[in-house]
Amino acid sequence: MPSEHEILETIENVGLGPDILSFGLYSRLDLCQERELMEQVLELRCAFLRKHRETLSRFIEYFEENEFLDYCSMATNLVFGFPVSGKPTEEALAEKPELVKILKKLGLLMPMVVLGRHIVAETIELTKQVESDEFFLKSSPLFDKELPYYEELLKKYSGIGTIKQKDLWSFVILAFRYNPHKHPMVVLPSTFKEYVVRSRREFRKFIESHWPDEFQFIHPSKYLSYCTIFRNIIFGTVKSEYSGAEEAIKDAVIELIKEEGAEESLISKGLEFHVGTKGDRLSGGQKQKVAIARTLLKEPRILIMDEATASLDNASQLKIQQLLTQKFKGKRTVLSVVHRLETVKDYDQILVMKAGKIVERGSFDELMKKKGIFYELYQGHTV
Amino acid sequence: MSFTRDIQSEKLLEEFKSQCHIDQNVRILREVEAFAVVPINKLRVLATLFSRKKFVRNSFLFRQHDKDPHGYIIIEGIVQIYRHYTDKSYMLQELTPHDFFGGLALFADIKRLFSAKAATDVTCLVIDRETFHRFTLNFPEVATRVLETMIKRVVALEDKLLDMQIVECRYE
Repeated sequence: MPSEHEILETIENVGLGPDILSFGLYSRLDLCQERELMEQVLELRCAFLRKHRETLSRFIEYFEENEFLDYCSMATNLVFGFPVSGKPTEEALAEKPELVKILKKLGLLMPMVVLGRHIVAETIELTKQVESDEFFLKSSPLFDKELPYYEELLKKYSGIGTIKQKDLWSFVILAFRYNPHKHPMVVLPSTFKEYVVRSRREFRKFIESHWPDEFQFIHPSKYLSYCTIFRNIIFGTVKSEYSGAEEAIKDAVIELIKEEGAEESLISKGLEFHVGTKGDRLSGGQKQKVAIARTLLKEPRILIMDEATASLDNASQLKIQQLLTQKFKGKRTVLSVVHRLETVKDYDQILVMKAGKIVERGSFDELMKKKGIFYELYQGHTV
Repeated sequence: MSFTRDIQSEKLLEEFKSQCHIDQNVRILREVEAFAVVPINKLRVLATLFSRKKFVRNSFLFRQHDKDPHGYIIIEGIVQIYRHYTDKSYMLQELTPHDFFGGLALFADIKRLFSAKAATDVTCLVIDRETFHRFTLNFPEVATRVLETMIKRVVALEDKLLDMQIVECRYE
C-alpha cells in the first residue's frame, strides 16, 4: 500500500489535484469523526468572510439572520436552520402539523395558506396549456403526481368559506416548499418576507421546545452539517442567476485553501468520493487520470497504454508523458499506442503501423531524419 | 380548527398576482418579434421556461466557437456582438433591451459564429435548447416563427460583415 504522501504526490503529478479538491469541497462532513477538518473549515469561513465578504457579495446570498433568504425554501427561512437528519427542511416541517399553532400565533397561517393556494392556482393555469408533463412544472413547488389532489382542493375552496384543517395543512406544505429563486411563478411581497424574518425567533423557540434535537440553527460560528464544505466556507448560497458566479467563488475559495495550507486535508476528504459503478460519476478525462495514477503507484515492470491519455487536453497529455519519462525511462518497459505524435519523442523505439503492418521503425530522431511516413505524419500531412 | 378566507387574504392574493415574475416575462416576450405572435396562453407557458441570468460588465455571454446551447433576450443593459479573426475583431452590432439573439443554438448543436459581450451589467431571459425543444413539441408553430427571425438576423449580420470586408480591401 503506498503512503499518503505518495498518493497525494501522484494525484498532483497526473493533474487530478483540482478534481479531487473539488470532490472534497462538495462533500459533507461526518461531525462525529471529522472534528479536526470541521475546525479547519470554520477557520476557512472566517478567513473567507474577512477577505471576500464585500467583494463577492454580488454573487453570494450570505446567511444573515435579519434578511430573507431568496435562495432557500420558506421552511428554511422560518427555521433559519436545517434538520440534522439531512432531510430538506420543508420535508421535515411537513411532518409536523402541530406547527399550525405557532403559525397561527405569529399571524403567518393565513399568508401561508394564501401562498399555497396561489401556487396551486398558478400551476393549474399553466398545466392547462400543455399535456401533463413534469418538465413544465420546473417553476412550481408542486409535483406532477399531486396535481389532481390539489386541483380538487382548489375547486373546493374557490369562494369565501371555511377550510378543514387537513386541507389547510396541504396548502401550508406547499408554502413550506416555496423557494423564491426556484419558483419564480410566485413573487413574495416584501411585507411577507419581513414578517417571516421577524417571526424567526419565536418559531425557533417553538421548534426547540417541541423537537429539541431535530434541527440545527444557522450561526456564524457553527458548522452546518446539512451543507457541503463549500457552502460552509462561503456561509451562504451562490446566486446562480449570475453567470460565472460559481466559478469565481470557487477560484477564490481554492486560492484561500492554498494560502491557509488546508489543501491536503480537503484532497484527503475528496479521496472518499464515491465514483459510481465503473466510475460513471467521473468524466472521461478523470477516469483516465485515475487509471494512470493507479498504475504509477503500482510501479509495474511492464506498462501497456492504449490511447491512455486520449480524453485529456494537450497540456495534461504532455504533462503525463513527461512524468512517465521521468519515472520509467531506462527502468521499466512502456508500450504505448498513440495517435497524438507530440507524446512519442522520448520513446526508445517507435513503430509506425499502416493497414496492420509495421512500415517504419526507429527512434524519434532517426524517423525525423529519414523523412518518411512518420515525418509526414508529424508535420501534419496525410500520406 | 377552521380558517376563513377574508378581506385581508384576498388583498394578499392581489399582491401576489401583481408581482408575478411570469407576467413580467410575458410582457417582455410580447415585445420580441419572434414571440410576439404566440397566443398569450402559450406565451405564459414559455415565460415559465425562461430563467433570468445576470452578466457583469465586460464578461462574455458566449464566445465565438463555443458550444453554448442558449437563446437570450435582453431585459437590461447592452450586449455587443463581435466577430474575431486571427489579428483583428469587428464589433458588428449593439443589442439593447428586448433584443433576442443566439436563437440558432435552440435548433441545433452548433458552434457560435460570434462572441457576445456584456458592454454594461446585463440581465437576460435565457432558455436552453432542450427546454425550448420540449416547448416546441407542444407548440410547433412557435419554432417556425423563431427560426424565421433567426435566419433574418444571421443574413443581416453576414451582410454587415461582407460590407466591412469590402471596405477593408479598398483601403488596405
